[in-house]
Amino acid sequence: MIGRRHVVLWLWCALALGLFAANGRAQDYGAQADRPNIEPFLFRRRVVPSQKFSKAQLETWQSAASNHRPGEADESSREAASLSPEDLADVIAGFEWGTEALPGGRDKTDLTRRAVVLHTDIAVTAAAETAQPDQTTVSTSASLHFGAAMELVNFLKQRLPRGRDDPFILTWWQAVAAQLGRLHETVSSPHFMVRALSQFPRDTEILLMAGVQFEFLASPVAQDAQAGWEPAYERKAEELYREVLKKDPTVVEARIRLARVLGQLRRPEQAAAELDKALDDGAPRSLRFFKYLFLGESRTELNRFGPAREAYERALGLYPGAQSAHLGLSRLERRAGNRSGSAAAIERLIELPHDAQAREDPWSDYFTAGPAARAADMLESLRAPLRK
Amino acid sequence: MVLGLACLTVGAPARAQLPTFSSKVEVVRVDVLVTQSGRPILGLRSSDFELRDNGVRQEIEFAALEKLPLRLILALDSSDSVAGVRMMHLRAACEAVLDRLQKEDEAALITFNHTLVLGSPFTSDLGRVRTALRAVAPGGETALIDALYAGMVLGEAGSGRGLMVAFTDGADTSSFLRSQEVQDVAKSSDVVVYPVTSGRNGRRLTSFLRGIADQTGGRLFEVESTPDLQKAFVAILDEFRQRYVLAFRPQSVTKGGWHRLDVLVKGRPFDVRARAGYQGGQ
Repeated sequence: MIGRRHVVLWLWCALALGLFAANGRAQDYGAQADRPNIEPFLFRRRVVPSQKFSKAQLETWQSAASNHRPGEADESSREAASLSPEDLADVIAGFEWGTEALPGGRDKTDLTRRAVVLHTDIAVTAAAETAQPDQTTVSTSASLHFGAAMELVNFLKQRLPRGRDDPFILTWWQAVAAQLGRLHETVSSPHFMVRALSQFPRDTEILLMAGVQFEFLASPVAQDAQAGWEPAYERKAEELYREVLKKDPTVVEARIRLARVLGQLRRPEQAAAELDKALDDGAPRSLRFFKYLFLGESRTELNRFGPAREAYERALGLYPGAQSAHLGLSRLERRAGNRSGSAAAIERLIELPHDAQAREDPWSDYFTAGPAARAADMLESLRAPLRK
Repeated sequence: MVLGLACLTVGAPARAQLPTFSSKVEVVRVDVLVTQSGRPILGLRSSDFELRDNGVRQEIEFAALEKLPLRLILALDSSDSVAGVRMMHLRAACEAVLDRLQKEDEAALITFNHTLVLGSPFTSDLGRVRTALRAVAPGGETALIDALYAGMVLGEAGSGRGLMVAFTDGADTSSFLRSQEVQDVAKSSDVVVYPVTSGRNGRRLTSFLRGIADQTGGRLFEVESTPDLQKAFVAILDEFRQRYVLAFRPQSVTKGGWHRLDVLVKGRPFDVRARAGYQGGQ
């Protein structure tokens, strides 16, 4: 251990000397064993610093972080977004390893927070600009800048007295988890969620979001990247939802999602039991809808056709044009041997007017409802203190 | 109780020399394509076929080519990714198929993004279907699995031969039903499903669509790009026209449950494509 400390100390000294002597030219900060790097969300490759960086580039980046207006696509964010992955890795490495006083006597912790927000904003904007309806990965640019922000958050954590318990750190993990959920991201989100859970194993918000992500990964949308893993993801989601309910049994959303997952895992009896517990007339309309929709499903699986029909009718009472409930009803009738009833349910559905209001179906937002729907608010709570 | 079977009864419309069977008797109908090296074999008669229901040889009462009117369901992806020139190609492909339908045939149009929409119900007034085609405005997500289910359920009604041509250019992003549930429905559906995809699709989607095609006796068409759609749609119709319709009354088999079907042409090494089986009544 002593040998390693010596090496690290030597590297710090070398870096400090390098920065001191650099004055705008390319610098070499040596071959540190623990040098920071950016691990983009897509995990296709690690962006390792080139071991050389330009002091001018570092200063430009610091200035961008300092001047960025949180939540806006401004000149500062465009400047930082124009850096190549290697240059970005270099300036962040240079920033983290640098010991020089910052321009204008800025506080490094404060500047790190601003840099986190800067790169998170770039990633969010890039993801929104490149989002396609069928897309299940964030763009390379979004991935790179989420990765840069994560690297800076980890660095920040070490500087803050409360470490990971600092509200900024927790909010960042929650906000990005919610954002990935909102984006229907499938490639990096499992890795991200595993990391988030390892850092915040008891946070009900993170647990719930991770559950939704794993549930989503088992859905048809996740496609080939996840083929064959559906039961494993569903079991993971079940575990996470149960954990939420253990910590707070009043989270109706967790219970309803747990019930759906149990249904997917072919345990309809358990699903129905959870849904019976989830009865709450004061709950939001969409949650009540899901309760009856999934009750209809689980009762159909149990061949309890009368009660299943009743559940679907209640769901349709809340959202008369909900395609999911009409399809469920049709499937029920078919399973009950009533083919004409099955066809009639489909006819009723497709003959409905197809304007958005008449066809409102909470199922469309099932995977983006809940915490993911609050992504914008969470990001805002990250940004707001930096505007002061 | 008559369940899951195509029942041809005295009361059915007497178009195109429809065969008739006594009322309230279950008749199972099987669409069969016979080919050799990819070329359809025509001119076969009932006596040329051998059909087994759960391993029990059955007497084929009827075998004919092009005798029953066709009930065509066009199930078209109208999600965001189909907008623009792709939609133009898709419309042209549908028009080409509609042009080739015969007087007794009927067509229906279902479009799907995240919602299923009936563009036109079954009608022999093909102008109505064409008008509906022109009105399709792409946008939104894709509920392919739900659409295949709806198409099969709707296509079973009526006495014609159900053919569904289902086009998609990509991933399912919003279905409610599970793919396995829809595979199960395909097992007992009388509609022959020809899924058509364009571009590169994932293994899961391809495997699912191939499964649906195999269960119903259809075939998956994968085209490189949408300009090839017209050729594919016309090929599907031509192939379907060269299929035989076999009909038999199940004998010496239990009524309910899943019935595996095996169809071959006696003494000839032809390729025979037919639905994998049917779900019997209770």
